[in-house]
Amino acid sequence: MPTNDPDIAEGPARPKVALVIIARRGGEVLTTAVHAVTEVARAFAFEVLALVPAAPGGGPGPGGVSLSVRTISVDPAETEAAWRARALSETAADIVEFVDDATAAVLPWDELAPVRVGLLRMDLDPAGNLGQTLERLGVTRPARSGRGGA
Amino acid sequence: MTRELGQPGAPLLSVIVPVSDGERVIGKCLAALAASDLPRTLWELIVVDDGSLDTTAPLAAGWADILIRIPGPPHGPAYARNRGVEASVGSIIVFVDADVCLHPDALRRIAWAFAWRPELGAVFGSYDASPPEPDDLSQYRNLRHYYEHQHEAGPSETFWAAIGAVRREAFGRAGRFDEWHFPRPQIEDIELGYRLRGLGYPILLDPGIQGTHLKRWRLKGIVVADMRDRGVPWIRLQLTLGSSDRPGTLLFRPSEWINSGVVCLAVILFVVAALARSVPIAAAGGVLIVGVLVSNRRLYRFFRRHRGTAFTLRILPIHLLYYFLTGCAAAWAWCLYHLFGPPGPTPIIQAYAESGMKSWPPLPAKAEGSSWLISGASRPPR
Repeated sequence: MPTNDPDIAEGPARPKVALVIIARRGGEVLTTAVHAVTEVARAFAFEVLALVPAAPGGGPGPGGVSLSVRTISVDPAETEAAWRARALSETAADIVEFVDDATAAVLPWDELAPVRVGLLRMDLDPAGNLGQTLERLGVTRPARSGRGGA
Repeated sequence: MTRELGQPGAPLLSVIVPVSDGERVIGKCLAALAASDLPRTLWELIVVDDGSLDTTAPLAAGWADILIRIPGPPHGPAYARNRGVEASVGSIIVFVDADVCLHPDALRRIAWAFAWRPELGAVFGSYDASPPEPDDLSQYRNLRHYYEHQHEAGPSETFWAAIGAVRREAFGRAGRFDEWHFPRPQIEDIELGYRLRGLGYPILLDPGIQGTHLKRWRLKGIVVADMRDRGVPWIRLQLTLGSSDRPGTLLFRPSEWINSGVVCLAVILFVVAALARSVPIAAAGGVLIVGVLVSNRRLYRFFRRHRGTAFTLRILPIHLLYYFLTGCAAAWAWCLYHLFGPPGPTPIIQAYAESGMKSWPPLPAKAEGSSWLISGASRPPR
């Protein structure tokens, strides 16, 4: 349900959003991810940061590609949690979304971005049989709890 | 959203963890969630950092898909959860308190609860019987909670957001958490449950959905929780709505009312006996206390089975204190209700709201359909 509130659409009532792309695969995958978010980032004024493990030589190593987003070089010896904390310290955004490069490349950003900034509220349940969907996805049924539990 | 469930960007569950200065517990909470046996593509994890001044945010960033940072003094879990829901996309919204470590099967159980009962509006679970804090107060408090939720399994009249899930459509229709009236952890989840039930949504207490409660209870915290944050507002809300509207559940079981009244009467008798130096009056008070203990024999057997006889004897005074506090809360709530009617928002929230200022994070908003507002409209303060 889109909102018509201009303060949310344009003004101070809109949260600042940062997308932090974690270069797990790097190379072309990272480039594809950046391309996937570029348009929506521009449209919604999202800040985009790429967390890229430093190359063995010491400099940033995005896999031999040039990135049009802010790149943060991180130590490959550190944990991903440390990388994420580093990214958090580098942005003042209200909402920080972390996503790996392979996932960022395929996410429906044009659908997600309006939700993140409050322009769109998700109101509807998906149609179809949830139980069948869970079984198809391999989610096993739990034992039923006693005394009226599920 | 048109994507197939489980595809990137189309999770079934949105797990929302509100946290404020939770560096002691947030890592354990999120690590437990990460160990869930529900496929990761089926849920997104949103942590809402409500004005923390400690290292909560960088710790949470290590696990979260989305971290929402709300600056300033804490706005309370109702507000924080609402902000999390706004940024989420799952069709089922799961709330987990930051001091709870969900069992690995909890999210899967929640998903199946909604699959088994498509008409279900909300489901909530229970703390487990293994609270890690070893002191008597924490053990008593958490085990009693476990006992109550295990014995209240089935259809419920209330909701519980420490481990609770609600269908997004139902949450929206109910008007979200009432962040306007609950600026700190109180009974915002119970009040939401009343509204969900009022709209006809079934709520289920499934005792198989469990998590470990990491909370370390102290006596002052118990008094504040039982009196100010839980007992008084809950009873005041109950008075406002009219007790006939809500069948007895949890705190409002008739036996609990009677026990609270009996303990308060016993305390009065002990005071009178001390002033009058009367043994018979003191004995009468003692008989009342024994009656309360006997009526709770099943609970004490449960404590004995789990923690032994010595523990059970040690917590008897704490349990009596609980009844006494509940009785005091009822009396205080009755006075507040008849003097002031339903509560309003804090003066600060009221003042900001009247200013019409727009910003992010937004000002606390009135929940459409809030029990306070509906009842307040029909029953003005006296």
